[in-house]
Amino acid sequence: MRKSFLIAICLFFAGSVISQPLCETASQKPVELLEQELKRNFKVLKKQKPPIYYLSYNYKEEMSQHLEVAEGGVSWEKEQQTRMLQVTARAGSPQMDNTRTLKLDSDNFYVPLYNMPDMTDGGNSFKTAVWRATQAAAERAQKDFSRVQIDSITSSKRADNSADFVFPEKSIYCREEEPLSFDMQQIKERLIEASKQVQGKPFILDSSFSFALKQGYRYFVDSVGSRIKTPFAYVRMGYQLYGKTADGLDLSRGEFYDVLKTSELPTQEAFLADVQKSIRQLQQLSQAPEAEPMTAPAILKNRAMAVFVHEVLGHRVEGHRQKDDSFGKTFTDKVGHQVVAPILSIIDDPTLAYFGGVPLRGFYEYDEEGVKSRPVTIVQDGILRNFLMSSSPIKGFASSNGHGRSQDGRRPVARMGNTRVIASQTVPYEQLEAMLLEEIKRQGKPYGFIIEDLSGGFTQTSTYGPQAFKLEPTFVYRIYPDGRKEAVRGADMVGTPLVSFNKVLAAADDYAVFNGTCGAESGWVPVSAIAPSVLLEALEIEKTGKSSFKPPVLPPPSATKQGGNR
Amino acid sequence: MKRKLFWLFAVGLCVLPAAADELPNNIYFQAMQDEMTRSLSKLRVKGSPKPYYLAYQLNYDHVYCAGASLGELNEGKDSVSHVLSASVAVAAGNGQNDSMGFMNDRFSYMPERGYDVPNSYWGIRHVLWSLTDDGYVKAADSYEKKQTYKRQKNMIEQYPDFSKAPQASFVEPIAGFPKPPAEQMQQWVKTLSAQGKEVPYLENFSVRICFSQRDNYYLNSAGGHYQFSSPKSWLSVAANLRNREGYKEIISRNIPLPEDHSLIPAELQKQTDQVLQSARQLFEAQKPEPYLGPVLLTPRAAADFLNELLVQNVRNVTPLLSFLFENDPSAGSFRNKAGMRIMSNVADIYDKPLLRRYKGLPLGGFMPVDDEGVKAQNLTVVSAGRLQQLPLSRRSGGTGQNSNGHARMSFSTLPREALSNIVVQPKNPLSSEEMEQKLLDRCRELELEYCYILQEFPQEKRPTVNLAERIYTKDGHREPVFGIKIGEKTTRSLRDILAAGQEDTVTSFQDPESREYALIAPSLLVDEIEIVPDDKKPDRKPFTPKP
Repeated sequence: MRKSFLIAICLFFAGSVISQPLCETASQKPVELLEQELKRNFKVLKKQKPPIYYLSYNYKEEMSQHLEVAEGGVSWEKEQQTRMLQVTARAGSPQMDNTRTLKLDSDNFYVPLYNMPDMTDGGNSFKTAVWRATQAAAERAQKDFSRVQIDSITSSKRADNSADFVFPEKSIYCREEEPLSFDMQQIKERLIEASKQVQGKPFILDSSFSFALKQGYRYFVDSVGSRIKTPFAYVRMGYQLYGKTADGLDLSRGEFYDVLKTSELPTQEAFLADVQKSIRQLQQLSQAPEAEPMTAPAILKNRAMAVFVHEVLGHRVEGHRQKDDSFGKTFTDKVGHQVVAPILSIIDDPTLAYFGGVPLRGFYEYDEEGVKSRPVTIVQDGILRNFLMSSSPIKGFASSNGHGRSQDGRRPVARMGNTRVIASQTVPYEQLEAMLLEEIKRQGKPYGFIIEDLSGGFTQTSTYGPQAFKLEPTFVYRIYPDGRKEAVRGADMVGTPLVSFNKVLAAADDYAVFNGTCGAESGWVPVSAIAPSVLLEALEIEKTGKSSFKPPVLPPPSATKQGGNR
Repeated sequence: MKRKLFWLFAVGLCVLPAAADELPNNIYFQAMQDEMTRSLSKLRVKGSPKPYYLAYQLNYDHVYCAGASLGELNEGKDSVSHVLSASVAVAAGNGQNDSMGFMNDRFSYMPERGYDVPNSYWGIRHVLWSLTDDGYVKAADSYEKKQTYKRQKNMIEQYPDFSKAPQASFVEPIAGFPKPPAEQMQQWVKTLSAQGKEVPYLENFSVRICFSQRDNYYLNSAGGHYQFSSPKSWLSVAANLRNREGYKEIISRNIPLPEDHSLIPAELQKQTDQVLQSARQLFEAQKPEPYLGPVLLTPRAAADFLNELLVQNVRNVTPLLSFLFENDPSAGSFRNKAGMRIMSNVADIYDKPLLRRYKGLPLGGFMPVDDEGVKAQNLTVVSAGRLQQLPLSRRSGGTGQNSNGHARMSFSTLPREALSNIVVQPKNPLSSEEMEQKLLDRCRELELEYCYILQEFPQEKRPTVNLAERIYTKDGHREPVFGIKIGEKTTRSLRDILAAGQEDTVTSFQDPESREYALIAPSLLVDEIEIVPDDKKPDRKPFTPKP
């Protein structure tokens, strides 16, 4: 009963919100011009030696507004409009092409990005710019391919000799959206008011309050015949407060609000209340005892669990990491095997635009390789089923499942979108805490942990290091057998993926969204992760590294408020 | 209690800048003064010398640019950018023996620098506080290391590390950045760049016009201060082409425009036409054969020539001390040549920091008060071919000389000696026809088939093409040449200057420490320069023709 109710809740909260009408791809000026140049160039390029066997254009029109505020003043304010083109030219053949990583060259993911002219004159100067970018991309692809050919002669046999590329399916799609509009003056006033809240607090050494909006359209045209126009929009308001303890430990608290409408922003009252809460937490942390290394039962709160899954499991199921011999391949041979606790299923679903009223940053309709996004069940009831795939096939997974992603100026690889953890059995959160207390007593531990929040961390996936992770919680409580909670500072979570995920004993019904930006080979991409709070049988905590620099000698000037009436 | 109040009052008197009463009444000076007062009275780490000298510099930069490529905008719909940044210099110890003038590591002789400073009283103070604190910790560290260095090198001090100098001020009201005529600028760049569409060999032709203004605010703890703004506008034109011989080349020009931000359509058109003309020359140009002989440098090439061989050697005249090196690589090599002949007696060279504009163009080296609070003085750098005056700072005291107000700071260096607006004044200026005739006469005398006129003095790492012309002695006809290198660059060439022209031009430069200065130079005839072809190879033809 609990399971079916949960699915119903998930369906209610999670939706692909695509309400705007579709448009005519052929009538889109950028598509028309890109198509003309693609056809004209590809006809010649495919006959070259080595041939350019695939050509695509990613063209983006973006409008952005940024605002940063601190201590009652604006530090950065900018409205910008950009038009950028990225050309993908593949030289050689799908089996072996210019994109293969050379054995002594770990980074060949950079791709030139071209600032494009407007197209009011019928598009002649736009087409000339496309032509120049195409010539440069083709020349570079041919040069890189010759290096790959030479490299392949002296390289050892690859464990997975799958092709370098699989042609994406042809897609024709066009959708438009009403542009977003926010009252920037009002937002500025809100941020300025909030930024003054930190004054008079000597433990807050720095602060930043920000608003960022990015919106526009992506166009994709390729030699397979795909013609795509999709809108994108990211809006984020937030703040970060920073402190430092006398022994050099850096502290931070903050909050971000991802929205798509003004009505989704928190009220000013709620916003200021959150700032005040963060101020209290930072003060609490600055006076808190330091964590001691220990293994103990723990609760990972929902958003912390979302980051945990993203970092520890998500990156390891990205397709290209199963192929390249420089990666540790933790899960490569585990398809069909249990890899996490059986109560958990994990799906990456970029088609979700919202969850629980929160816009998801990992939403997209087509990936950067022109492949339609789709939900991919990575883990079902604890058993590994799939990898996230770009257009670089791997053994047993021959085609893309719409997860080829990159930031502008990088070549796409398989990346996460919206990673969802679904528990088959859940309990109310209060019950989960009661179960934690029971577990602490059962194991005879002096206390357990509640990980409230994680800022991120890193997970080692290359063969050069151990297949381990280290995550940096920003707020951790010790919880004693009598239920008393005590904030601690300087606690890092460490472990190995195969062990950690099998320690999940139970999950709560409090699903929450973590919206963030994830960095990897193909750059920074917006992502989301959704998870419930979980109870772990054991979590290893170690001390956080400290800075060798002391805090400043004098308190911040606004903490003293000496300086007259300014 | 009375005693306590007395001491508080006394400390207040000591730390307030001497010229505090005259400081401009705005948030920038209020924030600088209040944080400086607090830092000097309270900032102290037990066991370390306290800070005795602080200097704060705030730069508020406003920029708007419009750009177009082949008749279409590719920039210009953005808002004006406003960026406030801060630099802080902290010296610990005392004037006789302090922490400055010592390089701790490869990157340490820099001020503390903060970008995107919040534009509010508390925001500015917050950044100044943070930078002062960081700077003080480093200064205390440098102080100890410098003392160790001096002991190891048995350096006995005769002069103070930081000499005393009367402090000056210069205050002008700062008007807000005027609203740029965005639509007009956009229209102009579209029209100007559209001319490239008609030229078949041009792969791209782009034009950019920018308006900017830097508001400068400076205060040091001895009371020196300044406030003024430096408006600037410029035109950038770039042509990309593949010439007849298959070389992919770029011609690029940055042309300063009048500081009042007035757009003069005829001037914009003239400058753009010149780049188009150079592009045509480049399309038809050939590679040079090795050459050794007289060369006529156009004013722009002459500015590059003098910058590289003279100005770069007359900077940072007080070498830094460091465990990293025995000889400071950033110190100018002419620093010990005062009184020596370094140039032919064809022109005198002056440095004029108080010169604000020349022929309507703003000069980047304008500096009424230097970055140690000293009134900047005009210098005679070269007279009768001899190096006369070097730029000096309050740290040049090791030679017993006083500052002449030439300490300049940037985001990559603490105040060190540098020139500002360098003016070349020929003794017997010749017209352009006379210069050309003198070149031909000298070539004939040397029995050369042709000589060279350089439009650029080649730089090793410059991405744009080096364009020149051969002029034939027989009939004076010219042929364009591209892809040249100078065989061997030597300061000896300064003594080979035979003549200087009447017409001059203003060229802006930044030295390796990112300090901006202007050079006003006429054309120069140099008796001997070696020219060789560069090593660049031709490129393949495009796979497909231009659409």
